[in-house]
Amino acid sequence: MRAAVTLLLIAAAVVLAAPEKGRSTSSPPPASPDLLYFAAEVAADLQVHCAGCHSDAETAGGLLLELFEDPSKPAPERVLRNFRASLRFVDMREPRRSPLLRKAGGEMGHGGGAVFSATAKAYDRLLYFALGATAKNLPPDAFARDRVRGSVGSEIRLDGSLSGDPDDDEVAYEWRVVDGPPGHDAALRGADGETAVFVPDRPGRYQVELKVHDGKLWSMPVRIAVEVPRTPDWTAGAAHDPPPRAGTDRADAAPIERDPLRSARVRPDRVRLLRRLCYDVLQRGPRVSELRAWLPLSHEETVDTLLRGDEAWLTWYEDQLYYFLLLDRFRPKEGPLTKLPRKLSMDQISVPRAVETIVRSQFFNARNPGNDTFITVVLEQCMGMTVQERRNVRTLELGKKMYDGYRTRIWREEGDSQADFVRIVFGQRGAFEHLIRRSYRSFLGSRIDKKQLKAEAQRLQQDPMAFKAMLRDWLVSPEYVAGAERPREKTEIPFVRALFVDLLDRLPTYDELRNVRNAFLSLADPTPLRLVVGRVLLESNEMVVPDSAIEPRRFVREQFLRLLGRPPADEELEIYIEALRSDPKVTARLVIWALVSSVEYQTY
Amino acid sequence: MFDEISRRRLLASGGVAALTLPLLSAPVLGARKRKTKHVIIVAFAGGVRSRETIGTPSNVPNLMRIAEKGIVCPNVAVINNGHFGATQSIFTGIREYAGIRENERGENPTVFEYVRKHANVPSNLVWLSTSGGPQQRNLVYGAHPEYGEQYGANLIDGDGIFNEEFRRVLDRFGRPTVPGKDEEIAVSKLQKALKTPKAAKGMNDADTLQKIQKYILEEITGSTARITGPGAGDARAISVAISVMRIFRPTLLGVVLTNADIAHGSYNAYVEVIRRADEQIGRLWDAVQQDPQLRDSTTIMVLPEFGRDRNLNQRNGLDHGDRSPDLLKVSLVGAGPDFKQGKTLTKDIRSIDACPTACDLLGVPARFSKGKVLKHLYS
Ligand SMILES: [Zn+2]
Repeated sequence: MRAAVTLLLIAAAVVLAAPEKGRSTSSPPPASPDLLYFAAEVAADLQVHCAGCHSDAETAGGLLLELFEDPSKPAPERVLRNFRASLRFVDMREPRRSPLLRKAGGEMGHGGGAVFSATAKAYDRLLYFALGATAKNLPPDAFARDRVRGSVGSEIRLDGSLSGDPDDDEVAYEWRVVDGPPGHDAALRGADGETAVFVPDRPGRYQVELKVHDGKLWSMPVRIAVEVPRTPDWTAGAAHDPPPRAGTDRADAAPIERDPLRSARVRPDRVRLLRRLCYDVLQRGPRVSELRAWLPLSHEETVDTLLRGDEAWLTWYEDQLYYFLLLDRFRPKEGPLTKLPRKLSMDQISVPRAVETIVRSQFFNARNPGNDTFITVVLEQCMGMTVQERRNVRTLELGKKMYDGYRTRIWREEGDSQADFVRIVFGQRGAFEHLIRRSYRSFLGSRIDKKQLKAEAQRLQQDPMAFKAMLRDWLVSPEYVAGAERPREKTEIPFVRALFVDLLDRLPTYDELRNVRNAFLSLADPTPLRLVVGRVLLESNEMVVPDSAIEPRRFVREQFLRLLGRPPADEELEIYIEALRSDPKVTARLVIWALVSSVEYQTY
Repeated sequence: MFDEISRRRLLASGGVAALTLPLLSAPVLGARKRKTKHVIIVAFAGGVRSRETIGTPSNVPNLMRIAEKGIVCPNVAVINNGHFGATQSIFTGIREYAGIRENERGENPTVFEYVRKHANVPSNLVWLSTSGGPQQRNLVYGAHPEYGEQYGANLIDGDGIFNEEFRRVLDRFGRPTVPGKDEEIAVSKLQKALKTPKAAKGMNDADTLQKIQKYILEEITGSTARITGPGAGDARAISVAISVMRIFRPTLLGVVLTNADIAHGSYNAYVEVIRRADEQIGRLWDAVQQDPQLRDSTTIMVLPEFGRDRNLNQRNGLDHGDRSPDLLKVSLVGAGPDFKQGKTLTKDIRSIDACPTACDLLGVPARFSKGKVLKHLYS
């Protein structure tokens, strides 16, 4: 009982103090500012620098201070009133952001300007006050380098060992990621250690915060800016500042003999298969970091890794929207449909059910107005029927009746609404067959064998959740593996996605994808436009051009692997290295451009 | 997709092109006996009833102007097989059963392929200008083994490319520089070193590509991108068609309009779209008349893919599915040096007759078309 009450109290304290979400509940709450410390260290400074204006209600701006008659011996009640007034301008959760400090330091609109400078002792005392310093205990100091660089997927060691405490108390550490590129999910290991390991998962600028605690008080947080350049993959090792200690900060640059991309044994068929898989599942090419991670895996393990990820299902979902032409004003921007990818990757919904959900949506309804269009499109796109064929006309007419609210029977099932019609369609074996047929074609680029189709449809009708297992079977099948030998042409969507990832190391936003894709689709021969857009990206500020001079051999090799899906032949390698060495026109950027604008890049 | 690649490969190896072109194309041009040297087919699609066109001449003064110089056929039979399939039927001369949302190549060759293959016409002289999105791309060539991509038309879908959004995407990244000579040499040296299996040459020659690229770059920032309002897509399609006419003077130019389908939701907007399209068709016709090289040698045919229901739906719009004569009978308006003048021809014809007629005017056979050459239109 008692333990429960204590727990509740602690919880309440944590909630009250809870600075931001994500803060671990075991970390102590910030301490309140202390009256005695105020009286001893801060009150006099405020008299000297602030009370002149702040004792006059007209110029006080909310902070009304008492003037002391005798500054060396102020009346206790006046000190208390000034303490209370000041307290209202202290942010305990983020002391550094306290208006008291920001106004005094001139950071926030302040009639009196910067009355304290951030380096002055008076400022420090004000800060300590905000942190809860007492006469006996000053807050500890957190210390770490303020800027490091790394690459996506690499382990960046963050060192807080120079932190300390003026009273020589032992300090505890707390690291946390406070900012990063949109959608990031960077990992932070050892968040309570003297050193922590940070693993960014996408390029951009991150802020990692370190605070230390001396048992009573928190330090001011320090922030470490972690820079993860857009395309540093191929020069990961070289992009870092010199390491402060041997072995730190370079953890990401795999030892040469263990880097799977360097190994002379990189099998071209394995790289080609990986690239094919990446294009088929993610509709883009692999990054260098991904090649490095996936090459040591078996093909089956790679398939599993890809199908487990959110990106695969987000890609699948977008593909369905495109299939049903739910684009532009018909594209769902929020609501239950947008949660489908996540639900799919978490196995909370089956693939056939997800398709049905799309067809039931208001967006599908708006896209296909009227009974004729709606029923025709559902029969065509969900059942694969050719509605105009004589034998199907009856089904169409019955469906239209049902849509219009008349009690009708289709395929021995009754209904009298649009929703009934969709339900009946999605219960048919034919609907499962059609989903399998088109999925097979989209992933394998060929038609599924009739016998296999029958068997898979039966399996799926019994267990709709089996779709993922079925897809896995296809992707690890000998036919799929053998198919990687024959290049496929990149269609517009994979081309746009790949171009963004390959040049900017990020996926296009929906607007970028939509507009570039539509423009490509607007020409029978998109070649000239593909080159124009490629060049626009290549020359944009977002393109980070690697320094090829550091290790030209490795650079050329990695460009071939990621952009063309094969290692360079010896002869190619020599020609490229020689060109980089001797021709001043040939830069890293130009090498990338030569590969991206090549005919080979148009296929995968 | 496999098929496309292997075809390209084959082409690249010189196989098909080298063997078939000279054999099939050489004799055809000699057999020409018509005055027509250029054909424009406007698929006034999206579902347009005769009631709102020739039935209400005040809606379409420009079509009436063309009709005065040529012919009107008020009895054109169509099938209701979805906008795309019905439009495709006009260009293939076969009743097509493509689904409404079908986004794949049809089986049959198109009028573009017939003209390119049998009259040995290069890609820069056969064009299709469309609105209505990606699906239209399947109109420029089919998957027929004797025809296909190498005989396809060039296509520009004005909606997709000449719009504010695409321009903004490009602007955000900055305009590309034009590569200098040195750079071109360096890039080509690196690309020549690549041990890629020899690849296809693509649809267009370098000169055409450059012209297209230049036109696109100009137009992206030009006036076509700023067309807005109901029927904007159609207006863009015709605006692009006029530019193509001016730059390339094509042998065959197709135009596909689609905006009339706004009728599902609003009858009034539908009539507005028809009026605007008529105005644009008038501009296209005037552009032809003002060009001395085109004036006396260009034939135009305008027809919808199908009509619309007889009665309004609950939204005060018009769907298409009631099998009424309003839906299944449309009208064709045409004019040209080989056509009669100022005649209304009530004989029953079909929309699939447009393809073989266009081919006949240009002196090529529409070998797989099920339509008939409309000889009774000729003077
Ligand atoms: Zn419609």
